[in-house]
Amino acid sequence: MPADLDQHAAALVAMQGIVRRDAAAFAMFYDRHAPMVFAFLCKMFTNRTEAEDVLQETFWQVWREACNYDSSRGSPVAWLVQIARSRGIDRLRQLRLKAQRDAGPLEDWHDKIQTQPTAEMTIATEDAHLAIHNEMDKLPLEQREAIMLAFFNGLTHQEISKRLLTPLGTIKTRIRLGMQKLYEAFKERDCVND
Amino acid sequence: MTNPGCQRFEGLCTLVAAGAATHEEQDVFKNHLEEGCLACNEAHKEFFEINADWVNQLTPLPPSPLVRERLLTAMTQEAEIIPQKAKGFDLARGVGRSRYKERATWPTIHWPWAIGWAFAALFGILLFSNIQKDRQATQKMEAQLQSLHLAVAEKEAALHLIKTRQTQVVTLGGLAPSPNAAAKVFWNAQANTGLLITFDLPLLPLGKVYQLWAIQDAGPFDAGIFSPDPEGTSTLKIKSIPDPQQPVGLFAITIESEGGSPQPTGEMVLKGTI
Repeated sequence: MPADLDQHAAALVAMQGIVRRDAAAFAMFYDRHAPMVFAFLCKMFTNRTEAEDVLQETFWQVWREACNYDSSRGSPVAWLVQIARSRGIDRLRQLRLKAQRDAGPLEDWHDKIQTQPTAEMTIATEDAHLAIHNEMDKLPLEQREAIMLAFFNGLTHQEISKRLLTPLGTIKTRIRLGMQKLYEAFKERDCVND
Repeated sequence: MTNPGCQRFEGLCTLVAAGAATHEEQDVFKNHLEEGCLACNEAHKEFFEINADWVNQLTPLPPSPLVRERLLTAMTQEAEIIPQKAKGFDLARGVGRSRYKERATWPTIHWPWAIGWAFAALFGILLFSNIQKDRQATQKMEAQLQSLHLAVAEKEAALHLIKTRQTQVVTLGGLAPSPNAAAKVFWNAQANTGLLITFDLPLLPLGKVYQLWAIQDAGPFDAGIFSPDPEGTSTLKIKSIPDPQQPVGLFAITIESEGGSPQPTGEMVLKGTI
């Protein structure tokens, strides 16, 4: 898709600039991708402050570690999302530990760390749900549920198993099957686009 | 998805991609990727492109302009404020504020490690101290043992002298200054050796000693000086005399100045003729 190719090329050019410590290139990269990453983080955290903190850490890491980016391992956007997700998961796990220390039971940790979302956040979250669901609608509910809990809530397979009161092996199988189906769909779509 | 040799990593790859892997599992998979497995590297790459694709489908949401501003400010001040190694700099809490400078000056103390090291150091000091004490005690005991060995050797030599057939026994009687005193000399002229044992000799004032003389025709010869214990008893190994072929006529004990005298000068307190 030409638009995708343009986006990929622009991201690569921006990354080259960031590696050269070009602040303008970084600003361009940020302006282009921050709203998308922020939307993703708002899905992980309904608390806007947490989402902005993680967004900031993510782009700071991009600035500091741009020289480690290897284009043979994926697009700059995939690298950026990977950083955002790792940072987000780390933060969620920290919050979970804190909530466990402060409040006790594991099962309710996610609800306890969330504050009341703003109207803007609620709309964004609903949009995010719709978008993601379009992509995942073909998956069986249990596979979709396990993947969503991992992807957006930062739960490990062990935590998902506890949360859903389902054996660990079953959760692993659901995640594996769901991801494989998404992988196949992705490959198929790429072939069609090519 | 992965090659047949990597089946055990296939499930792990999906867990990592979904974000459901634990830190340990992530490390295992990362190590596997670093080993150069092409199939897993490719699958991993594709999964992350899928993830990016999902995220790209979200309705963009503009973050607060403050985030951008903080980042750009931090970037311009980076060289001045942030050391190269300071990864994970906490931008949310301010850029270049005094809190950070304090951190740069005072590194974080990891208390569990610090306490652990302190205990280890204390244990080391105690251990070293005990080893030193043990070493000193061992040295003292070795000295005592050596002293006992010498004493035993002396006793054995004395016993051997007494048991030797050629040894003569000379009884020395007390003279006027100490009439109750007595002594015995065991003398072996052939071996040019002897032993003196005294009884009831009075203690002498400071600076004075008893001196034994072996008197031959040529004159008296110094046979040794001694001081008795509080009960008046003493044992002295007699010194060799210059010419043992010449017979010793008598043994006598005089009181001399500390260190002894080349010739008898003081009062005679005991005497015995062979």
